[in-house]
Amino acid sequence: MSEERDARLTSRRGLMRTGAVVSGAVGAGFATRNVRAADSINDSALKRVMDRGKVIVGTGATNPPWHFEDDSGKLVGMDIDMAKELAIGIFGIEEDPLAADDEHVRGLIEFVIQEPNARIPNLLTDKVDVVIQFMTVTVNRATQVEFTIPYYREAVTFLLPPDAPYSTIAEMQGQGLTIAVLQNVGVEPAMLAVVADATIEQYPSIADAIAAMDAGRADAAAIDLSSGKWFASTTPGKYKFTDGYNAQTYSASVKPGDQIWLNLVNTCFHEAMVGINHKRFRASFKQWFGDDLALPTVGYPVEFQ
Amino acid sequence: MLPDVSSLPLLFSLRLPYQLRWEYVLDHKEWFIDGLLLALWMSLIALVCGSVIGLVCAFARSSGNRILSVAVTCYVEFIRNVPLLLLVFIFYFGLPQAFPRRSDERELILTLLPTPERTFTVALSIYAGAYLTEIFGAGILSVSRRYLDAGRSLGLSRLSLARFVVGPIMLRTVLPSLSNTFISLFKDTGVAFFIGSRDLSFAANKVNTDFFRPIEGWVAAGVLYLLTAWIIAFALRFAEGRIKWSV
Repeated sequence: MSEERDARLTSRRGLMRTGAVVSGAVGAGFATRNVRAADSINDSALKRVMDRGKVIVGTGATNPPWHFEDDSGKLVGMDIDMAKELAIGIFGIEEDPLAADDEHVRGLIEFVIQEPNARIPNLLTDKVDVVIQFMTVTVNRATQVEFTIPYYREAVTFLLPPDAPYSTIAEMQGQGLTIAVLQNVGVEPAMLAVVADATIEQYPSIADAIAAMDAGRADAAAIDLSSGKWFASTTPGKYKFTDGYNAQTYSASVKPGDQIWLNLVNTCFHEAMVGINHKRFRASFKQWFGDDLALPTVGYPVEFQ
Repeated sequence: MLPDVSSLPLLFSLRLPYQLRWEYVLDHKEWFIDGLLLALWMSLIALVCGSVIGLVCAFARSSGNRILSVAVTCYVEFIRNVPLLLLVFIFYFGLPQAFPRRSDERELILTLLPTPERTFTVALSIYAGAYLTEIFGAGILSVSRRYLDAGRSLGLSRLSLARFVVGPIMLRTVLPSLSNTFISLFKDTGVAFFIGSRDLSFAANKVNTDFFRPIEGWVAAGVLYLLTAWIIAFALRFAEGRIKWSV
């Protein structure tokens, strides 16, 4: 009995010792990691990306038209096109015929598929170089990461079953509806501010929120207006959507403290949207949102108009 | 030699690239407490319902009826070889969509399984039932033949034999396995978060999404899972130790 007890105690002490060693190692890892701002090219993610020959992009795979898999299993969408613009810019092939070679450009990118709630953690732990995943800019988030210039203005809409007896946000009031939504910062008060008497059900992905509506567990799913348009156009008769509200900005994000990398991502996006690479951006915009963009004006810079 | 305590504030506040801010957890401790209680409640219900399913299935399989035996084997093999998450998704998203919108069948499913919590508990009970069938089955097999012969010699019917002889002996044998199953089911409740249940994992993820504090939220949930599982294990081991076995 005594031997058995001793063995158990020894085993417990061993466990505690192991725990202490692991904790110490983790603590040391935290304490000694480089937290300086990247003030030279050698400290910047840009150097890492160039040395690696690939840019690691955090994005999703289940949210059309932003990032989703096509019939062949290939990641496509507006976010994916922005990632390709970034790779084309970083690796200097913007005026090369290779820029039109989809396979070649994709070879310059490593996509890391992540849930929306992993966007900030994966950046902060260097798992990805940049997040391009329909990320809404909030000041609160800007205290954690640095945002690039915006590449879309989004709004929220309610996806509805086609036979729902309401079609606008005004008509949804006073119905005691259940609304499925992506679990996100401040989402419950934001929803209740629009439909005051609703019950809000939060899901870990937008696909789950839509599935909950499809299953009759929710009366509506709050999603992006762009996604609402996409679903309504690609699955005719299955859904309808309300008017949009709560306009917001979509940007990519990078780890804080790396101005060189941020500048480069900004330049790639800027030249895609209003500069020399505008043609590809226009084509993407038309493909994913159905909108024809006006050509950038010549002369006075468009940014100051 | 004692460590230099004066350096600790530096370690925890200045030198960490990720500064730990536990107030985001402490200010919202009710999310975690409610989530923990919900997880315990769901796992307890699943253990009770799963035990009933397991007992019925184990006796059905050992009854000698071939149809019952094949049916139970199919159930056990199917459930044991699919992930719990898939089962939960089938019950929550799949079942209602098997029937047209506004049909009586769909309305019935939504009435019986109206919330993520109830749907998850039912799925977890069926999941637990398959494992408990195996546990109870092993318990039944462990009952010595001499007890069965003694019961038969007294003229006990099959039902009486199961109730008064096999049942009590088997339950004593499987009690430690039931403890393990309960702890396992408690940890499995983390899956409920995927269908919107506000359990412990939901609380951890909410701290992440609302305040961008993934480490604090998940560490707090992890510690609560660990401590609760330990307490359950110690309590059940103590209870087992108090019961004098005389099989």
